[in-house]
Amino acid sequence: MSRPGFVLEVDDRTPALLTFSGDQLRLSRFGLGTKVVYPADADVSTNPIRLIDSALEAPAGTEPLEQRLTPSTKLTLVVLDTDRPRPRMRFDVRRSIVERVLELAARAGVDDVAIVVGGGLNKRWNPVDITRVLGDRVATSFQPDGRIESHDVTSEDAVAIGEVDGHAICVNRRVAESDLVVAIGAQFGHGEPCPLSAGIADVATLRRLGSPDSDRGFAKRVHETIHSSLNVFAVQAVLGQPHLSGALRFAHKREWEWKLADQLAFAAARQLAAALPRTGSQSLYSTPSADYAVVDVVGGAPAQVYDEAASVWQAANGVEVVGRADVVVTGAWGGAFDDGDPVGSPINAAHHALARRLGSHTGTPFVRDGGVAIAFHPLAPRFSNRRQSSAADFFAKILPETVDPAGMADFEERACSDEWYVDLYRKQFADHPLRTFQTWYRVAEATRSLSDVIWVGGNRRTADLFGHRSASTYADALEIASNTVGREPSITYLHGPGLPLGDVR
Amino acid sequence: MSRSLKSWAQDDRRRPRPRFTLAADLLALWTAPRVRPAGAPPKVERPSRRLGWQQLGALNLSGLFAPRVELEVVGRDALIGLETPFIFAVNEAGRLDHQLLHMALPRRLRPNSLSLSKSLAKGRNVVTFADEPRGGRLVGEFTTVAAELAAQHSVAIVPVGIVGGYRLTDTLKLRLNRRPKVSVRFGAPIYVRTLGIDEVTQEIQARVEFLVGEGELSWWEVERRRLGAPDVVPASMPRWRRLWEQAAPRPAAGGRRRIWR
Repeated sequence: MSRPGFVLEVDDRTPALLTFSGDQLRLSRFGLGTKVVYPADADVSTNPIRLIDSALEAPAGTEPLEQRLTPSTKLTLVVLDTDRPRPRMRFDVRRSIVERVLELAARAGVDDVAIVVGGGLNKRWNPVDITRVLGDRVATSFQPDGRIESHDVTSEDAVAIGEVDGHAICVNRRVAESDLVVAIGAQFGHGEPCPLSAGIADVATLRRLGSPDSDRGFAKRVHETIHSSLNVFAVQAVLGQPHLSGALRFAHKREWEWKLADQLAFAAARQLAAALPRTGSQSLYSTPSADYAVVDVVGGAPAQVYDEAASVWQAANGVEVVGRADVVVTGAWGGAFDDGDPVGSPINAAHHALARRLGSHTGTPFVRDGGVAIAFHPLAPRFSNRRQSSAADFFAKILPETVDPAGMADFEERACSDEWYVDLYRKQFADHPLRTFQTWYRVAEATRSLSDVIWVGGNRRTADLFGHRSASTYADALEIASNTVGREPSITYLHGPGLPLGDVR
Repeated sequence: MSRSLKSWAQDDRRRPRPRFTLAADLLALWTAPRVRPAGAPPKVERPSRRLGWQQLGALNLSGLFAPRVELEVVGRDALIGLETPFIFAVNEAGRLDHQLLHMALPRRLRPNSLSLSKSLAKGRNVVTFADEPRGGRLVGEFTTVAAELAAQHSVAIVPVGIVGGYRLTDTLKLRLNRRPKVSVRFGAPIYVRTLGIDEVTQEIQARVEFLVGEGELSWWEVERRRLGAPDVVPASMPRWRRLWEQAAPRPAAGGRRRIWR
């Protein structure tokens, strides 16, 4: 059992604390009285086979998986990839679950088995992704026969399985035609209420689910329709906090516990990032991987599994915070949200800092209404030509027109039907253009109750384009914030590369 | 552009210059007092025992007879994610099997074949071999030792098939133009938890037989074929045929199928 998260109140004995800003690492001093939220201790993973076996043998709300398999069963394993743990998993628990389910299927003599990667609007998996996540064993067994496919949300092959409020709910054909669907996912964060719906539905349904004015009742009915139309056995692994090793071994540790090797690693990482051009830093730190402790594996009926997995996540990663702050401070580390880019694109950085990290709470936000958010990130307007082409155009053409999600409907319509973007998504492993829009909608929702968002070291033009502000230093950011929250604000800092869940009371 | 943006909020076009931070950082770190702040919980250490790619390392080709054989290792990917220690269950093909297994593994994973229970308790991997194959079979019978040890110590069993080790000592005495080829094939781990001792032993037997006999099939094919075991167990064959097949030329590199992870 790892040490739970805690809140440290900065006093004169507190050392300088680690902050992340893109690929830059820094030890920063915080003012006396600042509350620092440390997530639960990152722990190394252990072999999850026992937890997986227990989840398959004693599921919630349904009979064991083995009893649902017969030789004539048309079985589909859906590997969910909507809510990606970042940094990526060193030992991907989904692979262990897939292998265990396939062993059961082989024992039951199931002939017709296929694997569908349910990534929703995220980039589709290429053969390298399949081998990296699912391992050589599964890849060599299924890939040569074309029995692993990455779900295409734009596919015209999708099958309607029901209707909600006059809207046809279409899902992946193989999934719809299966006798049994085993949905396999990993829970890191509060995440989607139903990752299965987000993973296998068509673009029209996802568009409606993620629109700025979508109502929860509609989403709930969509989830119910999918659960009732398909015969689903869900398996969800609940993860702990990321445990980094090698050159970033210090990142998840508490500063006063750093050993000599951690100190040297920190100094070396800083020196390399400061001395090397972006490409050099990219080759060293662009795709870090981390070990995640598997806290629990939950199996059974999907609705129960996703509720229980969220509860387990909360129990394992919740940190009790007393009182809402005037100012909340967070870093945005590129390795925690963008693959292949140590700095991270500005839109994803805004989403990571404001929606994901500040939004990781049990209902009461870290910061009071009208408070200020301060984030560390350079907001350099750089995007991957292939993977983030739609995000680059969104940044260059749409944000200068409007930042209001309500005024983006036409742009969204055009982007979703743009052949170039759709082709990049379908064939070149880029994100779907709708993902950029929905990422921005979540940013806009997250900042609605804030009076200001200030980026420390952020590009001034990008910050202005977002409708936010930029400051050269943390002290300058507090100076700007003092106009809104006064000269003695209460401050909460969200520490580390992980994701603390704030139980604010 | 319909929004009016601040005229002074412009991109910073200066390229960041390389900076030297190492000395100042080290000085700051080493001169700062390291005291646990009030209210912070004490430290707990938990080293990882799971194997990653780094731990598997390269092949050990430094042994005395390593240059004299052409070693192929298949399926080491099966060990990734496993917690040490574990038990290797290997077919007895020849006298050099233990050395061949050593060559296929990095130093820290090399198994003991003596004092099995004691070695497992100390966190060292162990190996159990099948009996001598009889009646022309490729793989001899496994005893229940591996399953019992796995149940006692709650560890996984890794089936291993060694192909090409049969009478290797005799082959190495010959003057050959090409080095004899040897294949060490690792299979998916077996867990005792849900199965009985006899079931696990049968499972080991079946998996090792298929690793040895059906190496060119995929894992899924092997899993499925295992159900109809009697008709697909490798048939007994005369000794010359076994050696003949063992020495068969390898397919061209481009057309070779990757098997078993």
